[in-house]
Amino acid sequence: MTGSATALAEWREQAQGFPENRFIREWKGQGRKVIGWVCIYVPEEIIYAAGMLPYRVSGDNEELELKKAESFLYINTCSFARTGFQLALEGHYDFLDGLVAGETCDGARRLYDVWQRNRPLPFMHVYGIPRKFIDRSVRIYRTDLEELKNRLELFAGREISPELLRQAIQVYNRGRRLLRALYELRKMDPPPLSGAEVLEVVKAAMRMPRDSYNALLERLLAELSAGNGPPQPPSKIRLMVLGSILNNSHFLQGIEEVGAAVVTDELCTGTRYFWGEVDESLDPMEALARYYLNRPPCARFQPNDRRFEHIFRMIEEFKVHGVISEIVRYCVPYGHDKPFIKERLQQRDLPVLELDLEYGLGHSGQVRTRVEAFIEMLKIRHGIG
Amino acid sequence: MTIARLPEVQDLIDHIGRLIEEKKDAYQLKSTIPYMRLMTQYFERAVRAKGEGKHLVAHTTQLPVEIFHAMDVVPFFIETYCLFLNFFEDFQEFLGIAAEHGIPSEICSVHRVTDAMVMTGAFPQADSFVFSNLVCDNTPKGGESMAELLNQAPSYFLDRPFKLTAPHMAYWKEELEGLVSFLEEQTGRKMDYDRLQEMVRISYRATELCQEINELRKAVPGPLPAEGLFAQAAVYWLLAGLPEAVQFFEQLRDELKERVSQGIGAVQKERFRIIYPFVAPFWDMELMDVMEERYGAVTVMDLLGHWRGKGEWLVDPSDPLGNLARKSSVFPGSFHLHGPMEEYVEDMVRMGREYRADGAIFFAHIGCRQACATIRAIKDELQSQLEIPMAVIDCDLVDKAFTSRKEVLDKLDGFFEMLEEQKR
Ligand code: SF4
Repeated sequence: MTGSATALAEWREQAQGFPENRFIREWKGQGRKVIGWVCIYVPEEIIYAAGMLPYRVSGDNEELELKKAESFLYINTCSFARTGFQLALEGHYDFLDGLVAGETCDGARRLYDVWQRNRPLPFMHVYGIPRKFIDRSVRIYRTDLEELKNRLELFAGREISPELLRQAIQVYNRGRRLLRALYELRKMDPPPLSGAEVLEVVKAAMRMPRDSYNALLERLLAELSAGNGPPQPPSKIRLMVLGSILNNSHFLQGIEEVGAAVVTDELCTGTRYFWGEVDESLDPMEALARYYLNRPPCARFQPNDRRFEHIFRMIEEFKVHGVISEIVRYCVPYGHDKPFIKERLQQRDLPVLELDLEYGLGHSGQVRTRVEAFIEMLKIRHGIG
Repeated sequence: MTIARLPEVQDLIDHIGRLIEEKKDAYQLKSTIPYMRLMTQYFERAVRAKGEGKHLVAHTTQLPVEIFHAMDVVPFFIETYCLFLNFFEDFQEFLGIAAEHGIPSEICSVHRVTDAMVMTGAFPQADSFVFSNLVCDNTPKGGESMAELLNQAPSYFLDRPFKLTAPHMAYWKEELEGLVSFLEEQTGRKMDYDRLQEMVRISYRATELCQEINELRKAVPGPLPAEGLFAQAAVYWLLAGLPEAVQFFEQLRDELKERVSQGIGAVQKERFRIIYPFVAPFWDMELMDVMEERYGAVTVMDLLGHWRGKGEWLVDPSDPLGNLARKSSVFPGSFHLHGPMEEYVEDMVRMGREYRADGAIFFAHIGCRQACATIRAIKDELQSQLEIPMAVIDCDLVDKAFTSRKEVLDKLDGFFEMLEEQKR
């Protein structure tokens, strides 16, 4: 593959800057508001339909010094939550006009709590997320989404009409289809884009206006489908990464440099973020409640079978040779699942490498050594030189 | 790994029995021995359940046990068992088993131990299993692990909402109805709602008595010695809805009333009134006795005894499940740990004020993320609103190897010296 990869270059250029990027500056320059969100159970469509830009609060490609955050959040708060608050304390999130959090886990809700207490934004909102998928859970979740919508309307000073919601859903569904198409290309051998690049592409979805994003992604897909992507090394070991939130693409790059391609994932910065579509034929709030609560679940939901089903579907569809199961230290939901995932993978004779990480970790000698050994073992197993 | 014989429920019963024998003349409170007997009877019922053809339900924390009692099943409160056993045993073997199974060490040790207990059959095989999301991520996830490890015992998960507005309360009540249906299915019996109603009434009476006891604990000197601190919580946790709980609380109330009227305090000379904005030092409960003796420090209130407001939750006596749903919004621990931080902080300030605390000690259990994340806020508010200093002691609730008594006492020495200075 020897194409010019201009869309990718454009992509890299456009998506530069973290947390603030050029889209944020333009958006704010037009006097419009940006709302931060924590956890993928906050429907971006509602914020978008209110004329505000949803922006996911996270860290990025760097493991940060977290001292400031630690004077508010005890050391046993996961480093993802501490990172988010560290960035807030350092003023990097000052462009946010509000923060919306789902009470997904202890880490996320305490991140919201300390933010609200110590660095409140003009708009602050937190709500519960049911842990079940049954009808009444959808009902109560919808009730909470309605409340979020009402509060956003007041803050935005405009009605979020069903029509606006429908339009937002269409835009976001389009994005989901495009991301799905990007993942379809990863089924190729070798995939036309590295796992690290794909992670950058997915992250950008959460940091820029979705219509601009869709346009960029369309161009990138056209280029990749035409075989004009960046050159990729030949056939390699195909890996899947699963577990706690992962934002640092250097971490994936480190894995890929030692002879593997990360071809899919079960991450909230990957498939769990965009899999499936909101049903456009339903009442929009009902459709959002159903979609968000029923998409491939995070580890905090009951029962965990649904999570495992998604993992095994990914493994089959993407012809995965081995799995990297990572957890951020003090990430309780994923920590509990870890041994059960390992057991199930071993029952299917799928090798798994378990890594306990600090959030934001990039290249690390120790991890690299373990990854190398894992990939070597897989190469021998699959006769890949 | 070679495993020594691991302790079981019968060992706990024996431990309590020996303690009663050894210490029966040493306790300050007459109600302490009856409390211990109640605990023994509770665990004995679990041991006997199978032989008596009773349905044994293992369950996690903060659940309305009135429902179990009304269904005439034998409940077995897993975390309380773990805490009790830890008063007598070192859990390194259990922790090792959990680590071998691949459970990360950052997971709350109570849950690592209970997982290991299930794996090794350290408590009787339950017929069914009930767990919930009260009060942190560990309970639902640990519960799910235990459900799987319990050889797939049929299980029911209760999803307690984060906020408790009217629609959330309705959701929570439906969850409780779901529990009743589950138990009916498992036992083949129907819930007797008249019986449940009566048990809810009895449980509410116990709540009222707890309020009376808490009022008495505000007295100076504080009348409740360390030996009674856990009793109050444990009896309610395990026996809510049963007449014996009411009898115990009446006895404790009367005893405290008498002590207050005679000016008898927990220690001869009360120097410091201490509150625990989180839990007691469960890994080393003798620390509380040491604090009484060494510093004249009386624990006047702790989170696990502190109900929201006046602890009112019985609104419509003919709606037992609705009342039990409501109880969760005022129940110690439930609303503190499974709700917005500010409500927790406010309640701790109220505690500090009403109990006229001189100091607070936060035992920062390393496995508890949602409690520890409130430390800064509670510390700041106690200090700024009431000038109450707060010590933070890093610890692990059931892993005795995490910190030594000496280390803790060194920190406490410094803290009490500082309080002493402040008093001068
Ligand atoms: S899911 Fe894990 S990593 Fe994510 S916020 Fe919760 S505890 Fe932290």
